[in-house]
Amino acid sequence: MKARLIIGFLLAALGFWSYFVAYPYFIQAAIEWKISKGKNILLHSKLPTSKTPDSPNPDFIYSIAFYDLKDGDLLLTGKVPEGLDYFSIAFYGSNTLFYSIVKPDQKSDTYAIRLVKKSQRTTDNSQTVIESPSEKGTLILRYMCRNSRDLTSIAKIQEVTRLSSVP
Amino acid sequence: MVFQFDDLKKKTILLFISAPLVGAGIGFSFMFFAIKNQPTLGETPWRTYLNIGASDESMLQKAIRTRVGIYALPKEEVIYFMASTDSDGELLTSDQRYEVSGIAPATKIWSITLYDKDFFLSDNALNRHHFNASSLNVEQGKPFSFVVSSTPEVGNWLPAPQKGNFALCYRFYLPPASAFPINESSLPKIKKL
Repeated sequence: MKARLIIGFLLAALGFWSYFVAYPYFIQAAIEWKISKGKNILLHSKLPTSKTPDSPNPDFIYSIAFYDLKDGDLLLTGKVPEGLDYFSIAFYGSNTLFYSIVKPDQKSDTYAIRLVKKSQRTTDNSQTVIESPSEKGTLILRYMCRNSRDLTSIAKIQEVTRLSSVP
Repeated sequence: MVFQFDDLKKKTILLFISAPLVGAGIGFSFMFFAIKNQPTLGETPWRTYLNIGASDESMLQKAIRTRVGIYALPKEEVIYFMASTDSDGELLTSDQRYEVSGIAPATKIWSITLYDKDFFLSDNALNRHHFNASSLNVEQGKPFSFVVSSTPEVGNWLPAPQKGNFALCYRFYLPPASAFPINESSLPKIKKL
């Protein structure tokens, strides 16, 4: 009886701890299931012209991709937006945890970011390299949108932003 | 006494299934209790979390952040303050009108956004969900104010949902080093009218 009580307590403690470990992965899977159109596909949030709210933060227009590095590195390329108050590309692991951010140089016209697995470092110094702590994760581009001029600029930039496999 | 092996086996299987589930259930309740009882900053209604992306985040902190601020940015990029009560500690509700007032912070990019009880933007005829420095036309260090109400107001009006509780999120982007530690008295007041 006593042994069963101790085992029960230990199993309950394991369940308690596992809940916190599993929760972020569960939420990540739920979000992917809800909005993803497939791995390594860049999705752009709708421009806020509709009265139906579709953005978690009205300060930003987002682009998001759920990435998978199983088949190799990925390359994110795009044009640096001019005149926006804020533009960043944030990276999150498979458990939704933030691990890196890139804010492309406003003086440059374009940017290229290579996303690699942490265990596969590259010696290529010509690109910004981000080492993902997990094979899967999420990258989010945030464009701050203040007015219709920003909106037009962001729409054009979204069209030329690409996430592709590195040959 | 006859040893009931089948009975013992059933009890053991039941124990192995139910005990982890009970533990997970306690974890679930504990997380929501911790979220609900997160302390505010001093006498203000604002709560914040400055540990995003830090290597010493505990499993509980990670789970809570996933729940209340998934894909959030670290404090060097933005500080998030959430308020679900007014400055007197009463829940923000659509039945009341509130004045939000303060001094524009030392950064040109900041905003105060209204979320419904489920932390979604609430639909409204104006398609207005937030105020910021440009929409309030206020410079750094100058006072600002606006009214939150479910019925139309003259002037700076932030529409609240037609019913239920709601929350406000104050975002302070690219905070200068002088923003730390947080000066509680600099945070906006939320006063019931």
